[in-house]
Amino acid sequence: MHICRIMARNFRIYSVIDIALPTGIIAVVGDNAQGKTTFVEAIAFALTGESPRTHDDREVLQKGAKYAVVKVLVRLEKGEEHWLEIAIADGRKRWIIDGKARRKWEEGWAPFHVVYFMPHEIQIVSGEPRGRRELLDKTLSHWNHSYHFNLLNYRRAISHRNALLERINQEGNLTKESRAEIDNWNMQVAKYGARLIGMRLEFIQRWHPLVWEFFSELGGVGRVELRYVSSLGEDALKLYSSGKIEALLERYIELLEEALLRDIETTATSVGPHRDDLQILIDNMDVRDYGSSGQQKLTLLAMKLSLGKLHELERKMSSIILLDDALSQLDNKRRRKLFEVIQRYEQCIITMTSFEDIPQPFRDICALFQIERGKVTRIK
Amino acid sequence: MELTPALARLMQELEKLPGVGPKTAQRLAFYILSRPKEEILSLARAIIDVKERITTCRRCFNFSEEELCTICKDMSREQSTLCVVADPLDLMAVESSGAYKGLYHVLHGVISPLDGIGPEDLRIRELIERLKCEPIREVILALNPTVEGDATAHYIAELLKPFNLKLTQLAMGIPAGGDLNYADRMTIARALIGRREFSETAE
Repeated sequence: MHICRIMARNFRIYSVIDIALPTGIIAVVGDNAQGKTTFVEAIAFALTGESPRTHDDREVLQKGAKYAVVKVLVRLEKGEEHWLEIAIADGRKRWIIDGKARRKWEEGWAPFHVVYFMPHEIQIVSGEPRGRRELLDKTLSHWNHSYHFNLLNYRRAISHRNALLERINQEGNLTKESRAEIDNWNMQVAKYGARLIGMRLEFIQRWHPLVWEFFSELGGVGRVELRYVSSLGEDALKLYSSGKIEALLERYIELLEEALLRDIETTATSVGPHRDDLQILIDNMDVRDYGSSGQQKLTLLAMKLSLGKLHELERKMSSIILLDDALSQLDNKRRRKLFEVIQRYEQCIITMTSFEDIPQPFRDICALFQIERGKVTRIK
Repeated sequence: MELTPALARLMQELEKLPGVGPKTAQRLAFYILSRPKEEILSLARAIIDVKERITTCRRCFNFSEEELCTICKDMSREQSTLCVVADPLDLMAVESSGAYKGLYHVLHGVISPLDGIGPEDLRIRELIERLKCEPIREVILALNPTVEGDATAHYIAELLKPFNLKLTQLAMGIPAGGDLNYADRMTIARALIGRREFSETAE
């Protein structure tokens, strides 16, 4: 599948975009602060309904503008065409597919998948566990409606438990009645939480070999491993993987009970998937602490591109690839490898600061676009 | 226009109603002012009556004008089945189906620590007392399938363990007259889990 055309108005630096896009590799060249990242953001926004850059949708409005719109025309393998549109007006966002408003992917229509890579996302690999949990939650929610449902319920159950902890903290003592209430919420939290952990583990098991495969293909050296680190402990994970769901639930509740006094003091629930981490190891060393910035970038690229592959294998849907500033920090050999990989896709949009960044054998096959002060023009 | 104190007070009171904002309150207040006196007195009386006459049934806690509600007084109803609902509106919903002929117990809410509602704020203790002295054999937990509804159902289920009675909950699935195509995936998944033997007579 590929994007045939993009139209936009009042989107950050862009007053107007209206340009046709070819298939194959599209190299988007421009100096710093000319609008390359915004171009990628606009496309990803229209395709997924969410900005990959900000949680505050109003941020994309051009200064002084009352509304912003991005429309993207997508053509699927069989020639079927769809218009996807994101519109922000009056502080509200509307995501419209073929003229019909949608709220989120999980409510249905998703005949394709988007893989985007943005430089700020490097903190997924190099930063706090939160970024990695978010990647897992976002990906799994898009792919699996039941994950999304469990995640919402889990968060709500945690809020209830924390509210109860707060009350007990203020009362200053743990009565028999409060104890029974806590037990009840422990059960609810564990019920949803165990399902989340289970679905995450199964997903990582399928995802992990592909990450390693892509990492090697991109010229990465070493064995990549994704290891789910749970606040419930190693043995809890083993219970799950050996099919003992009941035992996992029991163990989960035990741990919540063990943590109770501490939790009352901090009025926060200290164990569960909202505190877990996805450790990324290369030859048994944590990339977060020991990886060079080039290695971290390669790892994130491998993670992102492999998600596209996994989606294709499991859902029989191809992906659109959007790479923003993926080439900096990569040496020539690895740039060539990256182009070898993205060449396989029907369409890949990749931004860079100079045409020279494209490795030699690929210069002739790329379509070339230039971005200058919020204007996109096709050069070749 | 300068408001008289009486009019301002009426608007203030009206604004406390659910779904009524300042504009609507203003419109309602002026409407009330424009109507004949008898009509408005009749409305005021209806409001007072509802508060003075209606209490809750001392057995099931449904709204009632007498000590026992009409359902509890009706001895033709099955005395061995008890349907637990969150509030009188849910009771009306179950009742209007016409498919249930047993008794009810109204909790008046669900457990929700975020809103400061614990089990002691609900009619749970009274439910246990009823089970001790009434010949109930089956309890149906007809609570909403939300986090709070599930938590309340689980809390009650734990308390009912010593009673050795049949405990059931409402099935979830495709709505009658519904289209599989339009059902969300969660509903379909739940309907599959709760599937049953094919039968021509089941409604």
